[in-house]
Amino acid sequence: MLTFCHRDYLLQQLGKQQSAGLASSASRSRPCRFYWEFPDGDLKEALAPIIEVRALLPILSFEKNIQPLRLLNREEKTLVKLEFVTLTTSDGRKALQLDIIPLRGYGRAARRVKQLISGVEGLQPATSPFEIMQTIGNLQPSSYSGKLDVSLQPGEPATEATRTILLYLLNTMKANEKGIKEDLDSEFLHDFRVAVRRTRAVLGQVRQVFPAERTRYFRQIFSELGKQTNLLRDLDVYLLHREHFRSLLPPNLQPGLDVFFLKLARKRRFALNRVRQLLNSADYQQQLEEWESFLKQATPETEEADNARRPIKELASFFIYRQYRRIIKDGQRITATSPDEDLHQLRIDGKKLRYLLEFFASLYPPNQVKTLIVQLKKLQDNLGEFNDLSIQQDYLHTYLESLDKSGRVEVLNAAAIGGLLARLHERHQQVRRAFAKTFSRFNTPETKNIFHQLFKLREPS
Amino acid sequence: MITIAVYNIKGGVGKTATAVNLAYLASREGNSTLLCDLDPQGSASYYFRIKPVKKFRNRRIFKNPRIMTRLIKATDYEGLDLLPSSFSHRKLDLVLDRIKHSRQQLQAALKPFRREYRYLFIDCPPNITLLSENIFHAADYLLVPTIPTTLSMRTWKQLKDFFKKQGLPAKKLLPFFSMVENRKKLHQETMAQVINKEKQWLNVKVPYLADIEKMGSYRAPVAALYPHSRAAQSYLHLWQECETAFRQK
Repeated sequence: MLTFCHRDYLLQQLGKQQSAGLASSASRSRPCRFYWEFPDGDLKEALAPIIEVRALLPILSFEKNIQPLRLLNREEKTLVKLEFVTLTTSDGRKALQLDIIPLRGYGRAARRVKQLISGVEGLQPATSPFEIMQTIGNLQPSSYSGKLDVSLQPGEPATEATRTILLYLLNTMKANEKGIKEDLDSEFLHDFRVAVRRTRAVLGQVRQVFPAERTRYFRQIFSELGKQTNLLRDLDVYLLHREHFRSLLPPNLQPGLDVFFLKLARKRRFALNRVRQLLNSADYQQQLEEWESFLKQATPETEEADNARRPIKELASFFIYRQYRRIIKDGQRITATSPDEDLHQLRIDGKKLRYLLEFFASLYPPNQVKTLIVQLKKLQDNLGEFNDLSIQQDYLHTYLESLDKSGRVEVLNAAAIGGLLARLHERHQQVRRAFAKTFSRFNTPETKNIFHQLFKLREPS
Repeated sequence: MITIAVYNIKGGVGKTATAVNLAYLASREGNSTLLCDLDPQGSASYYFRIKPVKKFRNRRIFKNPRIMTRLIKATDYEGLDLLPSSFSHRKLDLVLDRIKHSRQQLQAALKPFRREYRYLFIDCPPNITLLSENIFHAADYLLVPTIPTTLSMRTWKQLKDFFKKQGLPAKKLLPFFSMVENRKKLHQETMAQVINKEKQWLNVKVPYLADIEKMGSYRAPVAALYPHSRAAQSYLHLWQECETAFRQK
């Protein structure tokens, strides 16, 4: 938890009330939003891996009014220092606190005071910022997570379990809308899109749970939602990579990239407005409402699909195992001369398997599922980077073609893009060469064994 | 940690007032400071409204110095703690007499404070006893308030001679004039003579002032209560001279 007060920051770990934490002072009175805006130092370094590209948003702000008091004995010597604290939030909620500051050698008096005020209603002893957040802010730490967190019962009918997952994903989408529209940071859109993709994966992978016609209809909607947000996400990724791209070039070529990024930033403003319009549109609102009411109402029995009443675990195991087999089969066929498309297809299939494992993780022993996800992730990192590099090179090629190469600025810009393409191409080949090794690390007897044990069943007829 | 003992063989020279005010001024600058009241009269403790410790066996201090840390009390001033006096301090000499290396005992006992405090002040009892000898060893500086009279100058000479005889470094001694009355011819003559002869005397001359005498009734350092008074200014001047002396070492 990060607190900001009079240009000073204090970072404290949750639950460690007494820890001093990391402090730093800001050069300006407005709090920093991203870790890279912080002054260099320990605090910045500590924050970077925690928040990564996320923006810091104020959760709660309050004014603290301290009235110091002293408790004296007959000799008028101070035995205990007290601070009567009034906290007032911006919307007028108040909390009273009495902080006891014990003095060395007068522990007994401090304990006695603590005892006395513990009986007084409305007077809490000193609290940490976390407790303040919970009591007057009515907020819980980590109330949002981009991770899928649903717990299912093995015997649950497939429709019920699937609805639980889909409703969870719908809530994730809704939770991120505001952040996208307000353009707080890139991750609101990212989480939104992941939820959309997962929704499509459920509809596409966990088959014949809902009536075919309805499934097709909603898949179409979510597929469209994905497409319409593609451009903004791509631009976000380029802009986040700005420093990395610059670092790939020799210093004299680096300024050439500025024009490129300037154009991207301008393009992004248009893309953002398009996405805002989409999210504000009546169509979108109505589609989500339709989706929600579909998930919340039971399907009439006459329309039920074949797998609707099957216990979810049986079904999940079947689909997971089938997807795993497909990846192994296709992955083994890939050689050094296979076309790039084969790797892209494998990446998409890998992602589907990963989603399936995440959807149904609560039905299996957590450690083993976790091991599989970690194994799969290593393979996917390789395939993902390969794919990103393909897309980036295509994009840069198209950009290069579109350049009017008459002016000096354009020539410098073209040179920079050319340099970047060379570096990306080199890396692309490295990643491609690494595939065989990465795949063989995934395709081990141990991993196979776990998949076999957990998911191999009699095939449903 | 710098250990400063305020000491004079003679009593009634403004010793406790000096210790209390300097300790306060040191802490006011943000230094964690401890004032040890080793004078059985307990005047320093009284000024800070802290009761002396009643039952306390001296022998235990030297066996287990950590016991001392448990007796420390916070004063009403941020960063300033006090080790209260104890009635049984008067028996300290007898206790010391019975143990080995009896001159280095106090130094060892003060060891636990080294990390915690930047300055340690000792308000010493008068007379030359085994306890004072311990203090001479433990202290980095011996601040000697001296009234500019013939008798006082005699005790100052006794102290110097004692240091020489015991092989203690004379550099530790920081004498200064205290309770100075400018209208007295004797005071002026004595000071003029001494300053001419001995270079180690501090420049400050703390005057005899009612504000300092009254500390016994308002029970607070005059530097805290009346920071703009002449008394407070004199102590501030004294403290600044001390700090210069510490830096020169």
